[in-house]
Amino acid sequence: MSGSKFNKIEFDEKIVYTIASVAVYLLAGLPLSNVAQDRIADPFGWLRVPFASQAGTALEFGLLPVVTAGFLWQILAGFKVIKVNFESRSDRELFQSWQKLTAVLIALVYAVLLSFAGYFDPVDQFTSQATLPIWSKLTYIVQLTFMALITALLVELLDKGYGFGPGILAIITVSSSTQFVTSFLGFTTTLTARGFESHGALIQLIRNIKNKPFGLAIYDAFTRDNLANLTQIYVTLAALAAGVYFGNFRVEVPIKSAKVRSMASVYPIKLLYCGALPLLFTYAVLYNLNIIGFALTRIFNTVPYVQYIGSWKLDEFDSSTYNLTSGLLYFVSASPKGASPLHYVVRPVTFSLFVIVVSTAFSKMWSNISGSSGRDIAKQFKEQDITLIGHRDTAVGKELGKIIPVASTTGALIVSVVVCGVEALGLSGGLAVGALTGLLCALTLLESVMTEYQQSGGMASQFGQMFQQR
Amino acid sequence: MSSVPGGAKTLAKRKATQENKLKQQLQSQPTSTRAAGAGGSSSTMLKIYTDESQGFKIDPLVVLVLAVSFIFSVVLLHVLAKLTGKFF
Repeated sequence: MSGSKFNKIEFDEKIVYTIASVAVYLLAGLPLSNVAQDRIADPFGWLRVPFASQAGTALEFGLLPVVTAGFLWQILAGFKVIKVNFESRSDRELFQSWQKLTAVLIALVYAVLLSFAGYFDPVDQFTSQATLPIWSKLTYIVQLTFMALITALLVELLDKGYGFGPGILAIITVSSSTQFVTSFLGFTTTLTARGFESHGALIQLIRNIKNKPFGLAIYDAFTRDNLANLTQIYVTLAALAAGVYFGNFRVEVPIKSAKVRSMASVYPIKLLYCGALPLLFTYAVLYNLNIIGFALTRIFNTVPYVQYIGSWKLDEFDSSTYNLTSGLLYFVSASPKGASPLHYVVRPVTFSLFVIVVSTAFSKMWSNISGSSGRDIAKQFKEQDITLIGHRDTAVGKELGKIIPVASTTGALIVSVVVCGVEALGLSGGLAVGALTGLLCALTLLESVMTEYQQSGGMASQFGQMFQQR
Repeated sequence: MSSVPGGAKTLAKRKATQENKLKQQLQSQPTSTRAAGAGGSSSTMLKIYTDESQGFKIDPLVVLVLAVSFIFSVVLLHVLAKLTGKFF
């Protein structure tokens, strides 16, 4: 791609590119060729929303390969498992090329695993469950691998300054908000075992009130399993409210210019210092484990003890989902089904523990290795001739280091507790965590849009003119 | 008798400071693109791409066109599958 540093991209152009690339991404959510999309049973439904993925479509993996590759390489470099000299430009180029390549490779491996695990075979009680011919499997693998490459390119387009913010966050934001609005107000209908039903929970409520006795109408709108119900919507709204509430918490560190007298300001350190990333990381770990676990248990289903990894049962009512019922993966899932009463009691506890521990540990590590620790910010301050009021130049890093780790771990802890509250019982089916991730991504994205707007003449752009008061 | 004033003690001290300095340099090496001052992932962002790579360069419009043409090729596969019935 040609250099964004050399020819400045206009504010309006950035808006157009952002909208275009996200729209193209969403358009790719069309069924894969040779897959009966409405007849595949989806074992990963509760993990999909934060990764903008859709079952049986070209977005089968969504952003998962890109996100996994990004986290993997940054963590390896952060802990100096691999030696990267980030000060050298060619090393940085190699580093990002490796991330792109890894993303495509991950998609390739997962596509091979899932298609040989029979994931794309139609599930139907009436027709014989014939496995598909080998070269229709080949078409899935080619389509999914190519889609991963295109996703990586779209993310790169936004990352490099043609559009706003990190591409991953932009896509998650738009996709999860689309998902939420569809679940709430979707007018489209599908044919289910109980007749036509609307995608939107609110629309379904109105449809129910027209067609059914009143009590049953309300009950059904809150409890239906196959599509979004009102319980999920309320749980999601609660999670969003908590996200907005805690998103406002911050410590304002007083700063001043080291050169100009009486130039004082504040530097805000947010409580949710790592934003959506701890959540995204935790769910990326879970999603990867589930794909690998599902594929392995299907491919090696004759090997003894393989069911201890995880065992999936087809949902008996609509046969459109596989639910985890037991095994190791069950205990770190938000699955609503269990093999025994003991399973039902233990799972919410182990799931919550897993989410809290992983995301808190991640946030502690991430603020250090991503170049946003107290020491790094002190370095930036020094370059911009900024100091903390009431502290020496040399103490800035130490002083920020007292605030930042506490903020990032506490923030991640609060977010993960909120997620456990809404997801652990398996009521929300991944919608709440997706919407919360989307919200936190949106806050980060909005920040970068506003910075851009104020710094590079956003007022003069056509977009700015549109919203100006006259 | 060593040729260094202060004797072997000074030599040991100099070596220790040298080693400490190297160690510190190694420790303060940036672990991410942002720490090296080249943008990229921050505390709230997962930003993968930072620098222009050498060699193969694609215009952003080409990326969008490529993506759309991929979508159309999948649609075309669907049409082919409908026409031929059993192949694909």
